[in-house]
Order: sequence, then C-alpha cells, then structure tokens
Amino acid sequence: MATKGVTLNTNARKIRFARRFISILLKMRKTRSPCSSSSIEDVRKRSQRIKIAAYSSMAHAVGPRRAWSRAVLFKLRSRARHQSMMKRRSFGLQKKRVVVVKNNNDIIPSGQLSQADRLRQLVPGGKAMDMCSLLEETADYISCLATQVKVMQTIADHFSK
Amino acid sequence: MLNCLLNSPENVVGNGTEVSLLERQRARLEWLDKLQQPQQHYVTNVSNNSIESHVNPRHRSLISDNLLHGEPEHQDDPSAKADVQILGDDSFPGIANFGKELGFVSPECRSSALTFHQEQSLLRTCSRLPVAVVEEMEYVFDKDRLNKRKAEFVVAVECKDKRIKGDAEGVESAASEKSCGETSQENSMALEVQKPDYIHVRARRGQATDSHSLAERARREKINNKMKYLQDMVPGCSRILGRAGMLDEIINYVQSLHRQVEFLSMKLAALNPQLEINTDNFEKEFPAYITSFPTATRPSAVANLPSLQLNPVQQGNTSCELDVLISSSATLPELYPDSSSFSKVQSFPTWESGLPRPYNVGFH
Repeated sequence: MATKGVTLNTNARKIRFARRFISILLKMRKTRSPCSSSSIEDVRKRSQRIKIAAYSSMAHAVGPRRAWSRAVLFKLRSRARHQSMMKRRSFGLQKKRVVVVKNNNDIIPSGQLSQADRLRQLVPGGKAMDMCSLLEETADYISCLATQVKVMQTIADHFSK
Repeated sequence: MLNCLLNSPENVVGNGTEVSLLERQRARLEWLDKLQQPQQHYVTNVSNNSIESHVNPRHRSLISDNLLHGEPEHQDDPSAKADVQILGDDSFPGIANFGKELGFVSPECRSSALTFHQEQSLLRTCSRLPVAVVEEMEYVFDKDRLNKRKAEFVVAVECKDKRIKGDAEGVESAASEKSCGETSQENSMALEVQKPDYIHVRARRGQATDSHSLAERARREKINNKMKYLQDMVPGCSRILGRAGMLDEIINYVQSLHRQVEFLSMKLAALNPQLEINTDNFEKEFPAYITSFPTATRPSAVANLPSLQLNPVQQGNTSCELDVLISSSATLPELYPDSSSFSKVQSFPTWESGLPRPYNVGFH
C-alpha cells in the first residue's frame, strides 16, 4: 500500500518545514528590537510575516515537485522582487503602497461562484488547472496544511510553557 | 492438431461418448486458425521421419517422440503410411479430415488410422502436455467466451492510470481489476497475434461506443477516484455521498486550515518575545521532537487560550495583548466543526463559551 510511503514522505516534509520555520523565527527574534512596545500593529505585522514565513517554508519543504508549491514560490519571489523595486524607487519617501486587488471573475459574472472556481481560488496555482489535477493538488495541499498546522501548534505550545 | 489430441482422450475415456457439437466446431475453427500460422511447416515430405516438420515446432517435442515411437513399429503398415500421407497433405480439408478422424472418432476411421499402440502413445502425449500449452488451449476457448459474454470496458491506458500513486489507496473495484488483468492478458495476446497500432477498447453493455463518450467516461472515472481519495483525507466526509457536498466540505476544510494557520501565526507573534532557545542544541534535538508529534489528534486552537492569558501578565502591557488575542479569535468566524469530537470537548472558562466549538481537544 502507499500509506507507508506517504507517511515517510510527510515525516521528511515535516522536518524540513520545522527546521526552516524555526530558523526564520529565530532570525525574526534577533532582528526585533528588544524594548519595543508590543502594540497591536506590531503584533499584526509580525504575525503577517510569520504567516508568510510558514507558507514559504512549507513550499520550500515540498520543493518544486508540486504545482501548488511552485505557484507559492513564484508568488513569493515576484513579491520580493516587487518590494525591492519599490524600495529602490521610493527611497526616503513614505509612500503608502497601493495593493491592487483584481476582482476579475469573483462575483461579477453570476450570482455564485461554482465550487470548482472557489476551490481554485483557495489552492495556490489552481486557476490554471483542469479538474483532475486540481483535485490531486488539493489533496497534497490539504496534507501539507495539516502538517503545517500541527508543527506550528507544537511550537506554540512549546514556547508558551 | 492438439485440439484433436485433447479431444481424443475425452472420446477414449468417455467410452465413445461424443464431444458436444459446439466444442467440436470450436475446436475445428481454432485448429484452422492455428493452421494458418505455421503453414510453412506443412511440407509435402512423406517420409516417416518427417513428422517433425509437419508439426508446429512448439509442440514438436511433445508429439514427435511418441509418434515416432509409434511410427517405426508400424512402418510397414500401409494404414500408417496413409496417415503420414494425409498428415503431409497441404490441403486444409485433408488435414481437417485427418483431424476429424483423429478427434471426432468414428470407429471405422479409428481402426484404420490408428492402432491401439498409437492411441496409447497419443494418450501419453496428451497427458504430458505442459501446463502452458493446456492453458493456451483453455485461453483459446476463453477468448470465445469473452466474445460471447458481456464485454468489459477496456483501456490499457486506464489500467496504467489506476496504478497512479494517488489512486493506490484501494480505489479499484473488483470489476476494474478483473478487466485490467484481462486486458493485459488480452492485449498481450492480441499484440502477439495481431500487432495492432492502437489500443482496442470495448464498451460496456448498453452504453455508447462513441470515442468521445468513452474518453469522457475515462475522465469521469479518474475524477471519481480522486474524489474518493480526498474523502479519506478530509475528516467527516465519509457520510456525504454527492460530489457537490464533498466539494463543499473540502472547501470548508481548506478555509478552516487557512484560518488556523493565521491564528497560530498570530499566537506565535504574541509569544515571540519569549523565545529563549539554546540554538545549538535545539536544532539537533528538534527533529526528534517534531517526529514525536501526535499525528492522530488535531490542534485545539481555542484550548490554548487559557495558557496565553497568563503570559501577557508577565509583560508590561497586559490588556492590549489580551485584546489582540480576543479580537483575533473573534475574527475566526467558525472553527471547523467535527461532529465526532463533540463528545470530547472539555468545559472551558466562561469567556470562551461564546466561541464556537473547537476541534478535538485531546492534545493535552
């Protein structure tokens, strides 16, 4: 049966994800100034960064084998590129970064999205997939999300004690 | 020719009870089919030792020894010579007649064609037929049966697809397994005999044989297999039967997992200042620590909030941390309800009672 292979695979992924994630957390802790007040904004920003770190480390742990991980990595890299460009251009200016959200096929065409479209929006890289591969990617994505949640939970538990 | 040999023991053993007409006809047809292949082997050598050349080289070792043994004894026997001549005859009706005489016995033919010794030798050869040859004969009859009974849906690509990793979770039904096995056997035989360039496909009984509909059916079966696999992954989906309901459950589950990640990241952001890790040792210990994670239980996001209440007290600013946590937990519209875990829910402090029910709480 494939279950044994699947569990081995998930264990390896778990370890890779955990390593990467913890190293990022440590980095964040080091770079964070020690005496800053923990305002809500700071916490929110930090949580956003941690979330991105979690997704990126998961995508790196899975590798370029899966379509969804490739999509996540591509998004991250393009985002980093965009940010570096903005930094270069608006050096010194305190511009608010306008994020353009495209609502192309969201709710405009018909009253309700079809289930397949909703699933496509949820799974990264799902917009360009046919139904068959979409379901396959969803299965893998669900397993990865579950391991991600477990690891994060354990880390949070460990550090809250 | 072996058909006749196979049939002859039946006739001899059955004490003259004739083989059924259908089997006779089948045997005749198959024998004629076989004759078409090794046509070149039927040379018009009439010498006694040339029986080997008349026989299909596959079956040569089986028959030749005994026949040759039988032959020299009756070399002078004119009937035996006549046999050989008949055997060496190129014309199909002649050989068919010989086969008929051998297999579908009329007593007068038997007496003229074979003596008792030869019959015995033939019997011995029949009894010694190797399993593979017998199987081949059986397969030849099976093929007819396959044609006659309800045909199975057969695509060789489909069989390969079903061995995809994702589908290996016991998705194949018995019928599809059987059809796969038959397909592979049938395809291999078909390839040996006919060497087709494309895959032969058979439609199920009472269904369209259009190539479009067949392809669609293959696609639908693939999608159904994947849905079954997803059903195993998503908890609480085993009772839902429709595709739409399943998809709704899957979407809800993915959304809940996203929310959980967001919540946990918020929690970690709140806890971050308290990270005191001995980095060198920790990195080595951590993999072992992580592999010992409980795999069966799901995280109880809400259950950890009481522990978080204490932490902000240690810091200077208590209220805003709590506010942040409460607001973040309030923004979680609904945690994923798992009906199987309702019985395991512990009693929470009152300020959590407004929150929806959490996951399985067996984490502690």
